[in-house]
Amino acid sequence: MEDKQVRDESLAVEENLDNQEMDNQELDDQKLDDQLDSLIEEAVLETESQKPRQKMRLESFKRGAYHEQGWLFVLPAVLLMCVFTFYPIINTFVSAFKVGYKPLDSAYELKWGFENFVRVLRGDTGTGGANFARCFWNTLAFTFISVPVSTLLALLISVALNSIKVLQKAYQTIFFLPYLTNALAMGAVFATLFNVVGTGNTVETVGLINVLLGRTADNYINWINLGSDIWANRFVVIIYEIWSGLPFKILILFSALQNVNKQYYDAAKVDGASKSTILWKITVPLISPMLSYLLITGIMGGMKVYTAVVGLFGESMGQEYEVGTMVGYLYNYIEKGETGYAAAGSLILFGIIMIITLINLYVSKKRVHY
Amino acid sequence: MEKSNDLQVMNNSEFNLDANKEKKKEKVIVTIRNVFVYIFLTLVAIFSFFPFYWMIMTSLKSEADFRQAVPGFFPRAEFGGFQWSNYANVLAGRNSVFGQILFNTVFVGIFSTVMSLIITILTAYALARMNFSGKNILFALMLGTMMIPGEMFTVTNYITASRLGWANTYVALIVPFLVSIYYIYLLRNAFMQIPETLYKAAKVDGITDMGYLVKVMVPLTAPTLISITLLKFIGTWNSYIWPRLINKQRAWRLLSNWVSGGFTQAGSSEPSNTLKMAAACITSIPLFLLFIFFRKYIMHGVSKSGIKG
Repeated sequence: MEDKQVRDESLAVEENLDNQEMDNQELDDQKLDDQLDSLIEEAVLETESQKPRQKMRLESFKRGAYHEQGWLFVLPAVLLMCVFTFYPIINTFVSAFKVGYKPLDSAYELKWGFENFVRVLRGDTGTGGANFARCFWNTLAFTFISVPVSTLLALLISVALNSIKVLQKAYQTIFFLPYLTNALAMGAVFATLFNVVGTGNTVETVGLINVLLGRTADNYINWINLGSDIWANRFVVIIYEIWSGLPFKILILFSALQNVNKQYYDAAKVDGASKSTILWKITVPLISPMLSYLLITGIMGGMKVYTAVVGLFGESMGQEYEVGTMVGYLYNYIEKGETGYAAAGSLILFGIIMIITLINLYVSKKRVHY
Repeated sequence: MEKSNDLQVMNNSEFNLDANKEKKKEKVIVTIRNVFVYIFLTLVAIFSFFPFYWMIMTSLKSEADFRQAVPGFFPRAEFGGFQWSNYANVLAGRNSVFGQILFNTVFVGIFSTVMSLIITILTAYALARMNFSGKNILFALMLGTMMIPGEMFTVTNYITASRLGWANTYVALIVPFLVSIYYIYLLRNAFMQIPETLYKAAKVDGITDMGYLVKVMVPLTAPTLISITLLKFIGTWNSYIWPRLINKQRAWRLLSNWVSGGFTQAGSSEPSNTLKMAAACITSIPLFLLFIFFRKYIMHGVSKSGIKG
C-alpha cells in the first residue's frame, strides 16, 4: 500500500515537472521531432557501419558528415552565388571608390576616392552620353505619376468589376491581356501609335493618336520624334507604364476585394452609408495593406524602368539619352567600359531605392489599417 | 426582403405605396449606376486591348496604307489589302538573322530552365528539410540579396564574364542567371507545406534524401515547379540588356534584341513600321499562347513572388 502511494506521488511529481518544463504543446512536438531525428540518424548510421565501438572516431566523423550532407545539396547554388551574387556586391562597392576604374583597360592606374560619385552626380564624367540629373528626373517623373495613377485606376476598376455579375469573367480576361508581354515589342507598338512618319520634310501620317485628337500635318503634337518636348516623351512613357502595370494591380486588388467580409457592407448599409462613403471609409481601409504593397513594389519597380523606354525610343533612349532612366544611365557606362562610374551610379540607385522604401514603410505604418 | 414587402402590402397600403416609390427610385439609380460602370469598364477594356489590335492590323498593312494621312482600322483593299508578305520579309528576308536568333532563344531558354530547375530543387529541399550548420545564415544571406537591385550585379558580372572569355557564347547567357533566389524561396515554401511526418515515415522505410526528394517532394509540388519553369522560360524570352552587353555580335543575341532592332523594306533605307509590327507580333504570340494555356500557373507564381521572369 505504502509503496504504491509513494510511486503515485513520484509520478505526480514527475508529471508536474514535465508540465513545468514544457507546458507548450509545440515545444513538446519539437522535442519529439528532434529525438526522432537523432534516432533516425543513428539507425541510418548503424546500417552503414556495423562496428560502432571500434571506430568511434570514424562514426562521429560520419555523423558529422551525414549532418552536413545538406551542404552537398546547396553547393551548386552557393558556388554560383559566390561568383555572380556575393562577389559582385562587394566588388561593386569597392570599385565605386576606384576613381575612373576601367578593369578591362590594362593601362588603368589605381586611385581611391569619392570622385566617381561627385562626377556622376554633377554629370561631368567627360564621356558624353547620358546625364545623371536628366535620367534621375525622368525616372522620378515616370514613377511618381504612373504608379499612383495606375494604382488608383486599378482600385476603381476592381471595385467596378466587383459590383457587376454579367460579363465579369470576360472583362477580367481582357484586363489581364497586357500582363505577359515583351516590353520591347509592346513599346514599339506604342511608338507606332504616337509616331509621325514622313519622307524628308513632308509629313505623311501624324499617327493614330494625333488623328484621334483631331490634329493634322499642320498642327500635330510631336510626341516622340526628333525635337519633341520632354514632357510629351514622358507622357508617352507614363501611358505605357500605366497600361502595362494595370493587370497585376487589378489581379491583386480584385482578389483582395473578394476576400472582404460582406458583413461590413451590410452593417454600413443599415447605417445608411452612401456608396462613396462605403468605398472610402470601409473598402479602402480594409484593403489598404494591399494598396501599400502595390505602391511599394510599384515604386521599386518604377525606379528600375528601362526596357519599355528602349522599346519606345530606341537603344539610345532618344537622340542622346534625353528620355534616359537611371538604369539606362548605368548600362550606358557599362557599355563604355567605365565601370567606376557605373558602380557609383548603381550604389546611388540602391541608396535612392532604399530611402524611398524606408519612407514608404514609415508612411504605411502610420496610415495602413491592418 | 421581397416576402416582407409582400406582408406589408396586406397590412398598410399607404406605406406600401411609399415603399414602391422608393423601390422604383432605387431601381433607376442602380440602373444608371450600372450603365456608368459598364461604360467605364468597356473603356478600360478598349484601352487594354487596343495596342494588340493595332499591332496585328499594322503588321498586315502595306507601307503605302500605313503612310496614309488618315490611318485605317484594318488593311484597306485599295492599298493592297492584307500583306502577309510582311511576315515572310521579317522571317526570312535580308533583314533577318531570325532563324539563328530563334534557335539561340529556345536553346538558351530550355538549357537554362532545366539547369536552373535542378539547382532550385536541390537548394530549396536542403533549406526546407535538411539540417546543416549555417543553414539559417545562408538563407538569411540569400533573402538579403533580394533587396539589392540586379543592376549592382550586372556591373561586376559583365567584367567577370568578359574576363572568363564568355563574350559571344551561350555560356554567358546561361550561367550567371542559374540561381534565382525568388524561385528557391517559392519552392522552399511549397516544400515546407508537405507534412514532416511523411519525411520521417519515408526515412524509417530506409529511403535516402535524394530518393525522397525525387519520388515524393517533386511530384507533390508539381504546380509550383510548372510555375517556375514557365517564369524562367519567359524570363529568357524577354531578356534584353544582358545579351546586348555581353554578346556584341548580333548572331549571339536573343529575341528581344532582334525585335528592338530596325527593319527596312526591300529597296528602302527607312525604318518600316509595318515590318516592326510583324516582328512584335512574332515575339508576342508565343507569350500570348503560354498565357492562355498556363494562366493559372503563371499567376500562381507571380502572385506568390511578385515577379514575372
